[in-house]
Amino acid sequence: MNKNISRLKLKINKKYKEILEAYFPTGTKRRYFLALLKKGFYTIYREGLRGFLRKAKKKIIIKKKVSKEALDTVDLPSSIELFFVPNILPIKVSVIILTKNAGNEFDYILKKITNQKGISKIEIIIVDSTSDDATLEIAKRYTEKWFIIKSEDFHNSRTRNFAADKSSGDYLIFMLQDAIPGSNDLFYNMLFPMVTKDIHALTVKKVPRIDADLFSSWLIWQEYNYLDYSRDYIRNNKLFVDFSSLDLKDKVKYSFLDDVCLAINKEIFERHKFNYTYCEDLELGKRLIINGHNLMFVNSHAVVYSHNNDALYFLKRGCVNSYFIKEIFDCKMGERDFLEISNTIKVLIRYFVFALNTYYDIKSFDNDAIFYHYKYLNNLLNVGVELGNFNSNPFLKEKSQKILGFFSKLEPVQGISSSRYDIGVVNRLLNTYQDILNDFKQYCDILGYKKVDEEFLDSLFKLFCFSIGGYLGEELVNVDYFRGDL
Amino acid sequence: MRILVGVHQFFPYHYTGIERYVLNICKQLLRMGHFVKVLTYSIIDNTDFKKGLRMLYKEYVFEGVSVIALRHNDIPNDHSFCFELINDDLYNEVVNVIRENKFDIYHCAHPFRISASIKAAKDCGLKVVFMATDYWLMCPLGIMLRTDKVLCEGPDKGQNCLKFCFSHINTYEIEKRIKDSYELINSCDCLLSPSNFLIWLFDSAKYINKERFILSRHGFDYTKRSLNSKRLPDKEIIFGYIGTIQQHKGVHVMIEGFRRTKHKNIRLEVWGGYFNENRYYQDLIEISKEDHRIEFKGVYDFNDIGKILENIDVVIVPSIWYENAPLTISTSLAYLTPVITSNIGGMAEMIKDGYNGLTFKVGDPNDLSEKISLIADNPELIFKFKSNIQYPIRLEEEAFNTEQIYRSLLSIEQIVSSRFSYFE
Repeated sequence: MNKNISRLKLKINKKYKEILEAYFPTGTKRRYFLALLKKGFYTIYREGLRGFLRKAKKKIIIKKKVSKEALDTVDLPSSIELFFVPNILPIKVSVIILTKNAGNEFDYILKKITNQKGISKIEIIIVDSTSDDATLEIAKRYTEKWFIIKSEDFHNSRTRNFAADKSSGDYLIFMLQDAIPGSNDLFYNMLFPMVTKDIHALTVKKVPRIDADLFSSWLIWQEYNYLDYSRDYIRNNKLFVDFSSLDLKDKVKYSFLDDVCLAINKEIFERHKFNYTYCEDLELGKRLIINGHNLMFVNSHAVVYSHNNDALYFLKRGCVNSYFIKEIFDCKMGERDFLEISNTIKVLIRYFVFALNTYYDIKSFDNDAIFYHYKYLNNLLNVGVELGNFNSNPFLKEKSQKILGFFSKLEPVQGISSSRYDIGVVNRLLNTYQDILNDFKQYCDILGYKKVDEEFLDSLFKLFCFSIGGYLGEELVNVDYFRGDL
Repeated sequence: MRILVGVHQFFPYHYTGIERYVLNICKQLLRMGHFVKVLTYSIIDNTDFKKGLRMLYKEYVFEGVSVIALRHNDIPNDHSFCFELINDDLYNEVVNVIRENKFDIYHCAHPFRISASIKAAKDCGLKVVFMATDYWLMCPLGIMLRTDKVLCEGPDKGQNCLKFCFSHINTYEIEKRIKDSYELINSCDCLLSPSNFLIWLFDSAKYINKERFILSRHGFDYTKRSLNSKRLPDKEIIFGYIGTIQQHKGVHVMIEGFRRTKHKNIRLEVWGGYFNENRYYQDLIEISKEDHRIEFKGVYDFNDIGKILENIDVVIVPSIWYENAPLTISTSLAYLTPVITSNIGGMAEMIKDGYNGLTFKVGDPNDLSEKISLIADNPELIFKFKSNIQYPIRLEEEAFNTEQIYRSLLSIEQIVSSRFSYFE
């Protein structure tokens, strides 16, 4: 009986599709309005008339807010055309890379840059911060414009500005030493809208490397998810009336530039230049958009880039990013001193590692199991359990000790002075973590990731440290402790 | 996006180039934030299967990739798999799998044993991407090599199949296969090919217009690569064969060609297992036992390929069929190791004679011997070829391009429509 019903369903579905194609062919306006109508009914069915009206209103408001001119998309070559050799753009491009022990793949990356098609001239400029490996030797094979600076003289903005001064191209492309062009016509596709349309600075999507771990993949995913960057997107100051009145998310969204791979018109760069210690790309983006330039995010082309760094790196990164983003966008800065809250953070890390024991003996999870450790952590803190010495997963123990060691080095009195903690700090930090965990769960759900293994536990630990970093960046009066090695 | 990738067999029991392609692309699509599962047919493994709608069903995870394996209660023989393209049981089972997982895209990497899944996916409203990894839809043997070991020029409406390979089969069966396979491939929304040669062959056999194909080269996983550190061939030049030892791979041609080269400064390492061709393998051992320059090294682990290539100066790929996009050649090029290969199919497309390697007349040991001698007499050619090698594209690049194709197929309007699919 069931089989017959199933077959009948298939037949009806097939017939329905045939009729649909006959009267509402794909790609026509008719089909579009039919889909819109369906979507409307679907929303009413799922969310009721109120839900429908709310969504419709939101959509109309968004359409009104964003002028047609701003949304005018650039005629980029479609993905299908990716496979054909493009015409040549008659321009000179300077590719700027700052290096320090660039590693095994550097030769491959430079070869990939040199082999870019569709650009009449490419020059490579390398500024090396006294590498110990073969970086400079490899660089010399591809360019005559290489420069050495002392490691201590490196500065995210000044060094890039120095390299730009040495360039002779019409356009500049800033890349990181381990960012790999995603295709042989990446530069062409980046510069095409800059040459033919009025785009002044542009950044392309990052795609994680195949060896990226769960956390690194999530980090890239959540960045674009947060910014709602799922397509090619042009921004300019027609999108807003007053930049300062925007909320922080919109400010970041409109200013977003990423010097993992960033192209900019040289003339415009010379007028603005980088001038910030960290998040210098975002700060440049802010000035550009305020001054009426067109910025673009390219989702249809990519650069391969990701890092499997340790939890301490992500703690520092989270801290510095959130601190400087607040500073760049004139938000209220934190007022606390690190030493006031360092003990609470250390105690919390120990509790967190203990709480991860919830997953002992669990091999896979379903639904809300990703929150088990979070609930357990809350209970532990509410009851105020004394941890003493406990057995944790050895690899987590090692990782947490590295962070605790880092914190201890920053303090005049070494070690955890007591198990007492500031409940206000704990609550705010746990709220930050919960938000990030929700986001991570969404990612795991999309992937269908259900395995509890070392990678999963490691990801949770990195998530927690990333949350701590984010929290510290918001709360502290300065983040000098965390700026090293970034 | 929710993506189902179909392949006729999969890890851990099968691990040739196609399975590796599927594994790699799935891993990368997962990292890019998509829901991905592999659909495969289990021909060897029969443990822990549950009863599905019409077939046996098992889910497992391999290297982080979820796999749905199907198998019949009584597995049909290969003949049925080759000639009954729309198997009802498989069709219904796949429909069930698609309904349960709500996929958006079906990416078929090889239709053998699971060809009905293409029709099932289309009927469920999915967009279907077909990657033509070999010639199976056009040739029941998959390799366009006649049983008399002569290269086939195409089915010629089934006449060539009947004449050279399937004389024991009635005309109706052949004609039905051609009709079904023609319908299947034409129903796909996007056709990908890793070589121009395959596109040309499908076009010239009037199966499908070349305009419908997109050239999409296979990507290579560079993350585990350590570059060939051997700069100068020292006392001797080491030639290598890396792959399965089967007749259509032309290993006998290579051994014969090598034996006819009398140079003392050369050596040949043969790496790989022989699957079911034990007799062929024993024959090869027999003919090469008096030549101490030839060494059979046995089965290798693909993860050790870097170490193997570190000791090899030139790789030989002597296949006597139209290889499409052999993994051995792309791996060798990624490791900057020059290749000598047969002058046909996708092989000749990857190696330009005298530029990044050498090609020889397919199946001709004398011509191969001449090419080996040329390198033995002029070892500096190895450096010339090395310097001309262009790296194959990265795996991440291939996956990103594939993702872009999925996106272009799934317009927002279609995603909305698919939510109203009858199956919801």
